[in-house]
Amino acid sequence: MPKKALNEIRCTFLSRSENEALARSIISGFLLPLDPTVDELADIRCAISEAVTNCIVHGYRGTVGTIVLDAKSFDDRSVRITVTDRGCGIENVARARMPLFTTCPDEDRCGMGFSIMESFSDRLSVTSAPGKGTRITLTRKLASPLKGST
Amino acid sequence: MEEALRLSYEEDTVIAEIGGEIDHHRAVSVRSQIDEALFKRMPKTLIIDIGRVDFMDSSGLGLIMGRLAKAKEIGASLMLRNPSARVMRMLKMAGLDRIIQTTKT
Repeated sequence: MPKKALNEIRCTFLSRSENEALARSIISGFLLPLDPTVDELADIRCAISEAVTNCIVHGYRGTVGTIVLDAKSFDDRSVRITVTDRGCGIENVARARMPLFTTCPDEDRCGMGFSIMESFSDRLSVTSAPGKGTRITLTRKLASPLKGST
Repeated sequence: MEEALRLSYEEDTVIAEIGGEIDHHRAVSVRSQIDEALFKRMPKTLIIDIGRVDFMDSSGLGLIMGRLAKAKEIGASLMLRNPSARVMRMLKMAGLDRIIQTTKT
């Protein structure tokens, strides 16, 4: 039986760095009614923070644009979250996803953003076109509230 | 709101206690304050205490890696104090657990 959507949100905000915390708050508010474990919530908050930071630091580098955060929950307790920008895009997605790869080492970027997003989600997809923008989609299935730990 | 950074000094040591959340936004000011103290005091040891940090993403890893490099520049060592299990997990992902000394108080 196909899974049914339970809830869905879409938020648009500017690529200002103070909105990294805003994005984490939004996703927390969306997830909390689903009764995630402490670790699940922390993982997803961290992954979203990475995705939004990626838009700000790389996508709109030096400029301000819009970031769209979409989140959708399903009746099998999975959530799908998408972060989209219309920034400069990524020329080589495979290279960008390699651990420790960074284009701005002088700014204390450690190149672990995509590795963390991958580690903290069940599935991560990145679609990007140079000059058009980037879309990061992560899915994560939450444990049953009865079986969940922490 | 949790105080973002508290700097203190003990003999040849600079202690930077970070609180609250470390993301790209907050890391910018924390980084510059620690670096200012580091180059002003020229200590032998820099201790970064992250026991009061309740959220950190890769910007926190970058902050730690960057301070390790700055400490090396002046011949100082870096000690990371009170990392949570979650922070340790992230340090391991980046391989930093092998090159950064950690301690608990």
